[in-house]
Amino acid sequence: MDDLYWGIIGFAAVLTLMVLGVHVGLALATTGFIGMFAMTGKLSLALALFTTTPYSTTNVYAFAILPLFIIMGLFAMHAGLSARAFDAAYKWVGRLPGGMAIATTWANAMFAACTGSSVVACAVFTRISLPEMDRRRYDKAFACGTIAAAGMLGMLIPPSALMIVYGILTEQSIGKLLIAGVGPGVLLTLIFTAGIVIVAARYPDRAPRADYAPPLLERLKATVGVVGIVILVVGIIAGMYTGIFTPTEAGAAGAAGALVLALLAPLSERWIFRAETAAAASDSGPRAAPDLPDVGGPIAPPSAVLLEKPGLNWNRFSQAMKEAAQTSALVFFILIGAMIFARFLVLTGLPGEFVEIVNEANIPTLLIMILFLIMYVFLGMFQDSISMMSITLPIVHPIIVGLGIDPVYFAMLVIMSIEIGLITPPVGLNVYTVRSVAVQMPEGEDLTLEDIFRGILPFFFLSILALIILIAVPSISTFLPSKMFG
Amino acid sequence: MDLRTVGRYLYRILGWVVNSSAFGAASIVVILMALVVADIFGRKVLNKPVPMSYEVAAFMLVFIVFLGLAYSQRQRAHIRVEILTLRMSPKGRAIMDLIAFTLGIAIYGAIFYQTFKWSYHSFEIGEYVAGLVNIPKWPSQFAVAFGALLISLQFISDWVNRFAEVLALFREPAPAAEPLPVAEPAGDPASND
Repeated sequence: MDDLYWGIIGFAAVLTLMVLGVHVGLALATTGFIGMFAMTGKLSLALALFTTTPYSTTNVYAFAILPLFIIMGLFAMHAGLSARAFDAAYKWVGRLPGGMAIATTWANAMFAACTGSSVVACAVFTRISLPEMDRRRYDKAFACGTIAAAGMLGMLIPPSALMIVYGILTEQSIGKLLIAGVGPGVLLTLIFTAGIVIVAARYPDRAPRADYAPPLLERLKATVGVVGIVILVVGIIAGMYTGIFTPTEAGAAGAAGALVLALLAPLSERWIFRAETAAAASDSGPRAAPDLPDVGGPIAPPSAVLLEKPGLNWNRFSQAMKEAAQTSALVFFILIGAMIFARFLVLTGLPGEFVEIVNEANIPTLLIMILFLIMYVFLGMFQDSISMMSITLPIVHPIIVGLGIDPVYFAMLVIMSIEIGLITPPVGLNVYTVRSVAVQMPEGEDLTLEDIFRGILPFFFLSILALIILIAVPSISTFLPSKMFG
Repeated sequence: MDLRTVGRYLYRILGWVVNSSAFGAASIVVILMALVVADIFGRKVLNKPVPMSYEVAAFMLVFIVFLGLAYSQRQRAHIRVEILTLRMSPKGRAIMDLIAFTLGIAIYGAIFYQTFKWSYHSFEIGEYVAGLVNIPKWPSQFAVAFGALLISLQFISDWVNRFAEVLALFREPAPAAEPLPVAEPAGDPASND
């Protein structure tokens, strides 16, 4: 029983160190080390944690997926995908109430299929769609709320860095988790779309309706701009699903494909978008003067909105590679700490004890699950997702498995809850990102965090609705992975 | 020479090694992508998989992570919870930084010591992964030791710079000390300050 106290003290120590501003990876490693020493009384045993854990945490083929999907996202960004996806989506749905907000959501879904980061998505789409929505006299709070909320899709739709980390921490198949994200991602996209239509129809002043229906030819042309990336995304997901690719191979293939698209971007830009770019050149004046009556007019190709032209040069390429290395390093910095801490925890017997307590307590399974999810939403308000999962999953995962809940299904619920935390005050990361980008632009200089939190309120309720549906209908999460090869 | 000058030199000299190491990590990301794509192509099209590609890819991840570790610290990219520290006085924050950096030096110093011994032993006895081609384990194990050493040194450099700042803060309570170079602007891969 004494050992259990060590476990509880360990938790308290990690939290204290973290709140004091110690790097999360260090807080975990320090506690694991000292805890091991305190329990066994042998320094050699504690030091042994440092010998193999850093190596065994990184020397895994399946984990090499992380840098690969990171560079895929960066290449896709340089391929101008986000702007084109937005353009194409707007040309198809622009006529619906809140058309531009819907286009933002859909473009985000497409972008999410190339990148695994909500923050990147928020930053990119603030730059692309905020000026366009502003030009159409959308309420800025609503516009920014849309962008921050749509950023949630980044972590659900594969590839997703969070799913990869979840898989590593709980020793589940990363491929299955990635595939499982498709269902919830599509669900959330549809719910957001429906929500936007309702809000825009009810309050037309927040999202003035545009009578904008470009001819079919133009729509098809805009669609051609995203064909490459759609083929790539469908290819890697299908490849993973059918077992043609291992997830790591899917990452490499995706990265290589996105690299080709990024290299070709300047060319296709010239061929496909030549006419429109010319139009944009003559159209670029009005943006400075927001009063011009151009509501509903043809939008300038968003590539012109981006400060940078798509394409790759040496500088961007090496920068992308460095970023991939840096992000992998910072994720594994935490994971190494988490593994050291987890070994200590297992020694204390705390996870097993918790499983027994929960099993004996006879609390309804659903209630326990919901309590956990509330905890994740709550933690997500203060903390970044990866460290939160590193600390909680060693305890929560065994309990969930012990209760006989499908771990893949629960993983989707956890990720969804964490994402809801990311749009909730006080620390909603997505909201901060949108604001920090927006205040640098003429359209968003005067935006406050409160504005954006106000704008995000409808999306908060929509995501809660999505979470409830996910809880009620497990097959949305589990159907695809259960039919998956391998 | 006062402490701040020492800190600045330390930061600069270290910068060259850390940036080169990050460049190494970045290059290995490219090679990893190329290797895995070549393996897919070889297996599906030519029916000739690249031998040992799984093992080599795993080794590469070790290199990417540990060569990039110190660089991430230099960029202040490692995740910390700032909810409390942001509300502290500059002095309080500096002291918390010193505590964090001290732990960083201790933990990663210990990791360096342990993994260096381990990789040296592995080198001596010639440990390898058996397969079509036998691949020695020590280079990737040594990469762990190297990365741990480098991030410890980076923590030491950060510690010295921060400590110099704290001293200045306590000596002259006025708005003191120009800030330490927080994160260098992302520049050329090999840019040595």
